[in-house]
Amino acid sequence: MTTQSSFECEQLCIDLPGAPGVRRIIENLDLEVGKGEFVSILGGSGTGKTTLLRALAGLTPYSGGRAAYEGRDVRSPVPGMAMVFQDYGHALLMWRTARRNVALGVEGRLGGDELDRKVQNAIRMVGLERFQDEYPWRLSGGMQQRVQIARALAMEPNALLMDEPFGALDAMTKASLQDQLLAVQAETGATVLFVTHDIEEAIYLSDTIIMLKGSPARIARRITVDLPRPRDQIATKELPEYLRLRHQLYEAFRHEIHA
Amino acid sequence: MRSMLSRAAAAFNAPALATAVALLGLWEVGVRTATTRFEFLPAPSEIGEALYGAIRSGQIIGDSMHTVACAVAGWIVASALGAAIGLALAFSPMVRRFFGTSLELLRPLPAVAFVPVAVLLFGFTVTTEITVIVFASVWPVIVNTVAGAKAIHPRLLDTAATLHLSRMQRLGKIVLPAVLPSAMVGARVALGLALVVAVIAEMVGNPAGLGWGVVTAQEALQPGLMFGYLVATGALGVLLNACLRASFARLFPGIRELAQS
Amino acid sequence: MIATNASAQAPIGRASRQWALHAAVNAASALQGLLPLIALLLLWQVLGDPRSPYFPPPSAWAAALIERTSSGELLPAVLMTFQSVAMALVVATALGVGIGGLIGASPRLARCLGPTLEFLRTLPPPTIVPVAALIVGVNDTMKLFVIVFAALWPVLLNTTSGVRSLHPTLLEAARSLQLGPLARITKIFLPALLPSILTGVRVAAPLAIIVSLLAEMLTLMPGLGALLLTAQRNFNAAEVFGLLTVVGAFGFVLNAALAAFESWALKPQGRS
Repeated sequence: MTTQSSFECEQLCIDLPGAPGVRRIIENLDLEVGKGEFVSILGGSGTGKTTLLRALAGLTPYSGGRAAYEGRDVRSPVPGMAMVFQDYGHALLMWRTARRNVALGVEGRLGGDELDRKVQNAIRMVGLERFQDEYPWRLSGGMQQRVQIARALAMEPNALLMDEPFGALDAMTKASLQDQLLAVQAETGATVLFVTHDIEEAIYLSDTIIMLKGSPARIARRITVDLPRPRDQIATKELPEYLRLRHQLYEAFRHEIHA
Repeated sequence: MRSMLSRAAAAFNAPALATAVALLGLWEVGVRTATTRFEFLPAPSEIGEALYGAIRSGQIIGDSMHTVACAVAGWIVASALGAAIGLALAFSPMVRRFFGTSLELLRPLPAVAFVPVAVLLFGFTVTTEITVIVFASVWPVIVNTVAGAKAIHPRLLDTAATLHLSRMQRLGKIVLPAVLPSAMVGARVALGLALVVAVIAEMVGNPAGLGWGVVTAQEALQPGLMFGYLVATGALGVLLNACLRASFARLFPGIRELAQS
Repeated sequence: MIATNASAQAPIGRASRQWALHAAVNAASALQGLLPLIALLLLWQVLGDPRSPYFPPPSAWAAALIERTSSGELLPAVLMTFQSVAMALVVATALGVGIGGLIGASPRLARCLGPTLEFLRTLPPPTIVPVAALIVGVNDTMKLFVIVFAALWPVLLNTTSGVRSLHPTLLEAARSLQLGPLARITKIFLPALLPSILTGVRVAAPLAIIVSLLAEMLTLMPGLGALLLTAQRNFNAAEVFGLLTVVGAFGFVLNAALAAFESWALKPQGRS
């Protein structure tokens, strides 16, 4: 049974220390993510989307239940998984060129041509060839985020965990990076867990959308996105099914806002 | 008052106390069993005894008074001088153009090297000591005043313009209050420096005060007393800084920079 | 490949020309800023009495310095002081980064050691000189010890606050890339802390010079400080003023060298 699933959570509980004491962020959450699936975790701010992702990445310890990746419990970062953070400005090493940032995760294990090939392949996938010898602080936000994605891709991950990766970018850059991400996923077949608060982004990218709600958070809804691939920024967003999902999700969040 | 007490209770740090006591105990035992190879190293208990004796006899009190008086006198001159020079540098392009580099060249001159010059000019006197203190502790005040003036947000000066303030009003109501916090931070740094330089000047320039006390205790081979002077000098620095912080906070309650650091 | 190199060099050439222009303008304005000092020295030279026991003119300083140089005393003294300061700065940096890094990374260690270190820090380094001279004896070890004691604190404090202000995302990125402890220290911590460490070293350098000079004055160990004190005891005002300029130049050069090193080392970080 585990051969088919990439991530699994059973009765997962996560507590985080807060000002008044320990606060329960996630309670009794069950989740299964299949291999090669693109799953978005959607929710308003402060609902624990990022906390859930970080627990699955092995960065935040969970206090109850179980979180597993490919059948094994996650307690610390696991090989085969790569994380992309929202604040690329802090996740990149400002003293290394883009190329050497991409090499950071693999240079300890590989060397010579093998290393070069992997790094170049990752750089190609995100279209960074022309900027690979620049320092990150000389690049635009979109380019910096591409460097971070390439760094994750160079690890050749089976699963990509992304924490609002496009949240800080302008609309045009966002659209272009979304398409690149879809192309990369089609090429590598990696499982993607994608945290976002942008409803349209979630529909456009995902196979499945998990909606988190409440405090402590639980899964309010699980929505299957039945849109054809490859997707297209104009055509896909005009399909009746896209509009229906969009309507449905906005409606769901309106209830949350007024509740 | 109660908040201060509760803060003190919260700040009570048992592991740190244990670490300090353990280190002192190790030192005491090391000296008593003569496992250290330093024949003049006194045990903490000897230091305590010598310090207590020197306080009882009034010797260390008198020396402290001298050092503090010189340090404070030098500091007051340095603060006034530093603020004036800093403001002139910040607001007069002429002064900056003609004196900036000269001052930059004088700044890295180590205060110790200045002592022999002062001794030649003024002899082994209090004047020597205070001159050296002023020379050393004027720099942080200048640097911080200039930095404070440069950090005045242009919007603040725009505000002054839209309110049709005169030149003097602008200086008194906008510029000086805006520069004051960082100038006072500089003055606080200067006070610590003044005390240290006073001690230096007393060691090689003016034979009086705590600095001279340490040197005579060394020459008389009284390690306990020497360490006593060392501890007293450190304690005096902390005390002086605490006094300054308290009085600044009382005098200028609105200054965030002073309340924080 | 060649084409990209050529295009990459063009802006560098332009930048260096701009830099040269900038430097020329800077030099001109610096010269202007030196005018009062030069005028003062000239006036002193013209009006000063060469036999004055208190205010000998600059030419007398130079003569005194030349005499000390030809008697073979000045250069070894400068080298001696430089050697002590440089070695102490290296030791203080290593110790400060080590201890400061550990304290910054471990709140428990900070809680245990913090107050003890805080107490040691309040002891004015100059006061340590006679104490160390009595206990350790008058030798190079004692000199190194007292200078390190003075220079350690700025490096230590800057490293500690540098570690504490490292962004959590940077450390998590290192974790999620599964870097080992050694790789984390060499590839993440040290480069990220470099600006804080170098700031600390620059604050420490003048302190190291002061304590080195004081140690030489109090113990008459060979060095610039001993030379200065001997000149003062001989009431040789010209030599005292001359040595004062040497000491000033010494501090100036050391600071400039450290600043140049800092801007070179931080260039790739875009923080220089």
